[in-house]
Amino acid sequence: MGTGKTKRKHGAHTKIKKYKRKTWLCNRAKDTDQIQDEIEKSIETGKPITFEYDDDLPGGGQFYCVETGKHFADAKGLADHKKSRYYKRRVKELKEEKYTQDTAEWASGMSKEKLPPAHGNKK
Amino acid sequence: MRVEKCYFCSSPCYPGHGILFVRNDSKQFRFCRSKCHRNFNKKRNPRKVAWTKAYRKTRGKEMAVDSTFEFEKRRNRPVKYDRDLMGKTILAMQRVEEIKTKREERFFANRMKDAKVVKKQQARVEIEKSIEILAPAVAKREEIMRTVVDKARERIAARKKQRGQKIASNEGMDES
Repeated sequence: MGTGKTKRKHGAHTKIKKYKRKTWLCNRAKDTDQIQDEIEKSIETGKPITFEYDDDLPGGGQFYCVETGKHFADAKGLADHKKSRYYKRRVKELKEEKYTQDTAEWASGMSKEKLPPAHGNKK
Repeated sequence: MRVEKCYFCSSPCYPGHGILFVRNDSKQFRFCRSKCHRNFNKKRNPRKVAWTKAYRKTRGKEMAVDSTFEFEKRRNRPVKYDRDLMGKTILAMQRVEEIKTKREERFFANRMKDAKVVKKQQARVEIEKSIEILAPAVAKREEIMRTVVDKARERIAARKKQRGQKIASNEGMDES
């Protein structure tokens, strides 16, 4: 005897509000400016973005795509992903200028106050 | 209390309005209404959404470089309250706004200077491109117009004939 389907249908929870509320923030993908920051930082320090071996991540966290922030199970998956349209579009997006709150303020006709240094020129 | 600017559309967010989203890297994003919040959640770039200020300014649809923008500033150093300074600032705000609107109007007029000519040109090109669609319609209209005119002429001629006959019959009555 069984209790019906044991495996739930893929994506069955995506449209139910209570499940949506639980997952939309913790599963939130990285924003473009976050990824841009990461890449900038790695270039600055000269360290590539790598993960230590982690059993919870797909592929132990060893096959990571920086541009899209995704983990893959093996090298082939990563290589296939790098050929995809999604990846290429993201690479193009990352090359654009970063959008921040300062940009929004500039667009509204607001500028930043520049003050003389409070404690003189200490060197 | 500060009137912040919306992250997405750059409009003012008054206290008690909109929503503040704090990302897990503790960065804050303020939105003036649910429209902006929803668009942010869709991960859209404000520079590419046509109704935002960032789009309009980067494309040169609005005045971007001007001395009037020097007035409104994010000041992180508090100023001690002074009654005279307050009064002066309010007067200055009105005056600067006046100048700004005038300059914006001028900018718009300058931008739209050649718009009529360009629009006419575009329309002409479009007509030339799709003349096959247009030609039968025009031909049909001309045909209809021709038939209407012909019918009207016939009617006028018939009326004239009738009147002529009436007059002739009247004359005949007099003679007898």
